[in-house]
Amino acid sequence: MNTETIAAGTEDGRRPALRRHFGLRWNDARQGHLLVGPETVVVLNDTGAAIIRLCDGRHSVDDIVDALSTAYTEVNRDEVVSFLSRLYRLQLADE
Amino acid sequence: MTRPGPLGIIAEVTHRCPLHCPYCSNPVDLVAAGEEMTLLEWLDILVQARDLGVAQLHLTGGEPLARSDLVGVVRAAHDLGLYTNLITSGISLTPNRARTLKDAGLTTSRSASKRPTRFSPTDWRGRPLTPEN
Repeated sequence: MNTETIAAGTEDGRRPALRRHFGLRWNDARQGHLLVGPETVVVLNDTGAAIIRLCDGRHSVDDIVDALSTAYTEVNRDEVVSFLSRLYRLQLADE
Repeated sequence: MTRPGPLGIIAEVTHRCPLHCPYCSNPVDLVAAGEEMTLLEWLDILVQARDLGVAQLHLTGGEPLARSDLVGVVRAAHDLGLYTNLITSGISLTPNRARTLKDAGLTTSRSASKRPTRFSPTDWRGRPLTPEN
């Protein structure tokens, strides 16, 4: 998949949202977050969890990047977009 | 805990089932109802599973609804923070029972009742399952 296409497709204020029945859950044993849905568990790192927490259908990609920038230094928009497009491709979230 | 265990468990809470589907992958040597694990034993398993890092519980059988205490398993799993998925034929699932299970914290349920003449398995997204995938 072409990164430019992905970036272009997410420019116009689309608001990523997790699919129905998917949610973020804290896992004590792993001391980390999981994205859990029907027949699916995705083990997340901290930044992945931080992005997914904002995938609520209210935040645009720009909002997500802005919000991450308050918590992390040097947030790379392309990496956020690429992470989101993986969520779409795996049918874990919709834009 | 240095090495996290499995992410999900498949719990065959009973081997009783009103159906006899030819494609069923259940064990051949079925456990009789009287020898099934009790609710308390399942609760102990669920606590152990949670402590190992299990996030997801798939309730199956047999037909899990054949257990009258299924709601107890669901409630305990929910209280432990497990994502609970009921895999059922849907036979004997009344609206009341569905509501009770949902209220107890059941996250999702999926049904597969296949007609013997036309077997078109799909994954949970509804996409056809073929030998290639």
